[in-house]
Amino acid sequence: MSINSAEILFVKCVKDGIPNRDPLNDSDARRIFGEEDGRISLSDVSIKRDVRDYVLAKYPDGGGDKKDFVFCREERTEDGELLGRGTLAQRILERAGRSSKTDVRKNLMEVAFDVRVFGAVYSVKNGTFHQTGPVQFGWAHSLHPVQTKYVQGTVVMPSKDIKEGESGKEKGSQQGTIWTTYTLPFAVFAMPGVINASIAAETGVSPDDVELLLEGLWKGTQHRQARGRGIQQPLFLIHVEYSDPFYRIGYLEDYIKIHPERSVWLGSIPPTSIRDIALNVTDLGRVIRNCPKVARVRYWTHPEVKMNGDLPAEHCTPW
Amino acid sequence: MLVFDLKGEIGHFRRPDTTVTHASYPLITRTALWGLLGSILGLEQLRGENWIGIRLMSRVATVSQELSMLGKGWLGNGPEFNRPTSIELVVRPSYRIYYAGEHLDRLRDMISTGRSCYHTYLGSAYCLTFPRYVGTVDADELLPPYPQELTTYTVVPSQAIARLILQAGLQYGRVGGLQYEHLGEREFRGTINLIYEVCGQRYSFVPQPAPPTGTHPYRFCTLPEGEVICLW
Repeated sequence: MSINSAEILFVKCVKDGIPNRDPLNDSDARRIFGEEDGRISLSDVSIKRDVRDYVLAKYPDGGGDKKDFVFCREERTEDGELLGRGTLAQRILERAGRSSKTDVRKNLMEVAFDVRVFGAVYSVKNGTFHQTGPVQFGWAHSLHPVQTKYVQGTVVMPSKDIKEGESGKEKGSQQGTIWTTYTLPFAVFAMPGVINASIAAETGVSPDDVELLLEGLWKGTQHRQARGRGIQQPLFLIHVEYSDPFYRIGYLEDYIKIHPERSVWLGSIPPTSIRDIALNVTDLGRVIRNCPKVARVRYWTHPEVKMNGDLPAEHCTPW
Repeated sequence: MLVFDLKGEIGHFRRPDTTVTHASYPLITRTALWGLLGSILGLEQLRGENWIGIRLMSRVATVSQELSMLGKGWLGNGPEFNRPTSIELVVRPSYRIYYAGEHLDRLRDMISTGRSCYHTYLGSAYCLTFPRYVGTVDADELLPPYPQELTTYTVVPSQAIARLILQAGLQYGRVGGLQYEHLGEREFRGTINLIYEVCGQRYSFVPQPAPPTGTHPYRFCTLPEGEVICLW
């Protein structure tokens, strides 16, 4: 069954952490637009990883139909050797009961969710292919300027342990080490995405795949919790499907606004939780309402997020 | 001539001679633009007679970011799943594109109605863009010998310029070695060098009296309001 071309807009927040850091800048937040603009960014790579990891956790054995394996992942042998993409493809196809000898491209697209949805570059001896994915995400950028903080802490355990050898007992360090990191109290990001029906038909993306993708964005964000990455929450997800496979409104992220405005984020008491903000979707509602080629619009919201404006859309319950 | 705008928060026009680090050209390349036009039309590859002009609508700026991309281990040789990879991004690229050629009618139909067969992006798939129709205008071609001085907003191939007329307050940029033509299967033929004003301001130059033989072709046109466009 075919799918509609669509656009996605996903808004998520983070508290007390930085979801995607820039190693070239002391692992501070990614700043594409400079200090004056103040916005920070998350790469598409990090968000796709969230989706993949969620699907992998949900269907470690590919699911009931053996079609939801995740190809782009870290898998090692029992003795710790990392599987390269050729061997990994072979293992996945074997687990799915498929041949790894013939038409790897077709078979892999049929059994691996991420290959169907995000595409793949597969380059191994006697079997190279490049498949563009029907789903492409842009980078996510914060909807407001962000001031990160440089903080220090201590580790209780010392880095050098006591040692007992032939020469007797060797003393370890007497105290833990100091760590330093950048963090931020609270930030809200918007990420655009597009789904192309023509390419989806090539890769065999089904309506179920789209549902899993949307679920993966929402729940993958909730599942991606780590101290440095902060506490992340999905706030708003909209899926705008078109009756014309070639149509796109485009730049959906430009039609939402966050309250409070810029000066408050740069002030002495910036927002620090979901309850301090509101999303204004008035312009987004207007542009969707005026679009003659909309087939269906659904959106999901975090129970605590305040929304200003109406959307001509079905308000769905999160997964 | 078809006129439309392209913009995005980021662009990445990868220099082909960079492997470990993904450096970017500072502005959209001819091959990326041809690919985008082919994508709108649903063509595997854009062929035929196509002339493009590029006007910078924002300041050229780039930034470097390090990403955790797939490592050599996953690619087949090594212990690491991830590999830190530095990429250079063009920040907030914005272009006005001029097009003349055999696909004009269909491109106008697609762009003016907000349609595209495939994704449209600024060099890399994560740099989404959505062409916005500006208009279709009659342009007059300037024929050689060209006037002593031309003034334009658009990017001009270096072989078209005999001498830049330097003006205070402008910043001139040159980017060399952009691939000229994609033959398919990641094979390319020819290179081109471009001159531009970094902030997209108007600049003046003395053109070559006529296109030099043996170089990639270019043309100058004037729009109804007198603006000079370089197509190449």
